[in-house]
Amino acid sequence: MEKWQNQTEKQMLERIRSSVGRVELPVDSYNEQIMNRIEHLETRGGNKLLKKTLAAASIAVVIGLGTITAGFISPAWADTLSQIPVFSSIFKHTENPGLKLAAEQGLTTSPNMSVTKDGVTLSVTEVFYDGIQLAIGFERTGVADERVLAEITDFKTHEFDQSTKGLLGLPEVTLATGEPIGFGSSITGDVKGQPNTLLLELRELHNASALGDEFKVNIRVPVAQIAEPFEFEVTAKKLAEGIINLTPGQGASKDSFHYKVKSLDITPAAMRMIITSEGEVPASPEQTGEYGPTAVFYELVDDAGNVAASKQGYALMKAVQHPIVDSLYNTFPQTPKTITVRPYTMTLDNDLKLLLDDNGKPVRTYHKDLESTIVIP
Amino acid sequence: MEQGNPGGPMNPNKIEEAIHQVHAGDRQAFSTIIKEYERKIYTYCYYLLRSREEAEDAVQDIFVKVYQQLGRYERRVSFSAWLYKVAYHHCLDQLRRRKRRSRLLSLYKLQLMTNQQALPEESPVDRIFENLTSEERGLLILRVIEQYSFEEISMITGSSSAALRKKYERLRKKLIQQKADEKGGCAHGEVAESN
Repeated sequence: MEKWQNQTEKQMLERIRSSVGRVELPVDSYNEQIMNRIEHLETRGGNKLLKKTLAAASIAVVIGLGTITAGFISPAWADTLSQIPVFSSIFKHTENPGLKLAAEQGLTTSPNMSVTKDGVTLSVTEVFYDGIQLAIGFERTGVADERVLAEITDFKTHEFDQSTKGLLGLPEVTLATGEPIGFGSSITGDVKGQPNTLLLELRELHNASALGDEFKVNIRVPVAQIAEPFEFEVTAKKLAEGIINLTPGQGASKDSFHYKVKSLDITPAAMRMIITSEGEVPASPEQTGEYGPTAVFYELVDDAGNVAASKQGYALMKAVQHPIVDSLYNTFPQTPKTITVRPYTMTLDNDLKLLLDDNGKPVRTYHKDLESTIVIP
Repeated sequence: MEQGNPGGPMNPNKIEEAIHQVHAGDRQAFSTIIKEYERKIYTYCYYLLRSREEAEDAVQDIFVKVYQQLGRYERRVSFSAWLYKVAYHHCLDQLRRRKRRSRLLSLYKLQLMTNQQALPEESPVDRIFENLTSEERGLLILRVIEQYSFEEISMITGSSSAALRKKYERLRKKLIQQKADEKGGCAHGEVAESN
């Protein structure tokens, strides 16, 4: 290692060394988890009986012309399938805390449907619907590659890289009528820590009330180097309990800016708020000249002081006025008595970089006079 | 500092013996390898991925992978360097996946404001790392913390040692500049605080 030129560099490196050296594992050891996974893998790879059961399950499915509905699986089969380790909960490992919670509380349904084509088996293992989001968990077997989702080469046409057999393209979800389901944002991706799984989340669903409490969706998943897509017909059942739908219509004004809470939906897995607004984005004295505000964000605070941050993204433009903001939030620990909407902006400089505080976090400018408290019945 | 034994364990023989035992079919012997290196690999992943949760998952995935690929390990390089190689490629893959996920959202011309921005317990060193790229952070760990030679880092990352030397020089300059900026920043902070 070369000699450092001066004391400052030496000190800095020492500081880095000592700080990095202090990083500790969040747990005592991962030994047990890792060894369990290894054991599980070896058992799975070596257990002939299990492989046979899987193959039999696949045959039963292929008879259904590649499409399988819940009706095709007898309770005995469903029982057998649920005992096979591949059908474990994907939702429990997702980054979406609401979905995780829903899985842990048993609020999801497990259709356990599988389709096998050309040696590749794809299963729909879990479905969750609460009127706000529809999440579908997939599991794939028969492909050695750890990646599940192929590289999407064109997001408009959903074209994807076909070079590795068995990698999936973007699933297409339509209603029984053939119409696509409208949504505000979607996330499709591999689930970390859960090899061979894929999670599809359609959020801020459009016109969800028209979908009813139970509806059928068709899912088509294209797979690289397999001519026909894998098709499933799944029933999405809306969560029966713990859903609150409000249309408060209240809001606040400051200068020319005015907003109104059009609706607030609370489910055990998420909250969704639709805000309509008009006028110019309010700017603080610091947000002038080189600096300017971002769009307005709306943070939610319950009566116990818990804060739910908006998952709304930000456009790299100053003072963008969104007439409608449809945003998802994580739930509060308990159903609150009141929820206060706390509008704020962040600050962009001329390079459209966010102004950060000493801790490296974006500086937020709150507007106390724009706060509005909603009473939850 | 363990000069002459970069990234290595206190007792290299113990590791060699464990590898031998695993090869011979004693699965449990792999625990010795996990316990010896898990903290180092977690730290490396944490600084590359800048996410505690992702690093936790990564460290487990990496050791499972290492177990599966142990047959491929050749003694031409140190075991620790080989371990870092698996970790490096795994994290690279994670970063690509992350990019792909956010690209999906970029359809809506939005930037994901994920918890990547909000790292808990941020220290001044964390802030130094924040201004570096994943590649630079990885290089810093391998070179400064683990004290690998450029040749060894070349084996881990697949970049040529000449290119790594250049990158490291640039990184040094960047750190010095950052230090200078930080001094300015601190003075500013102090004024703000005294008000």
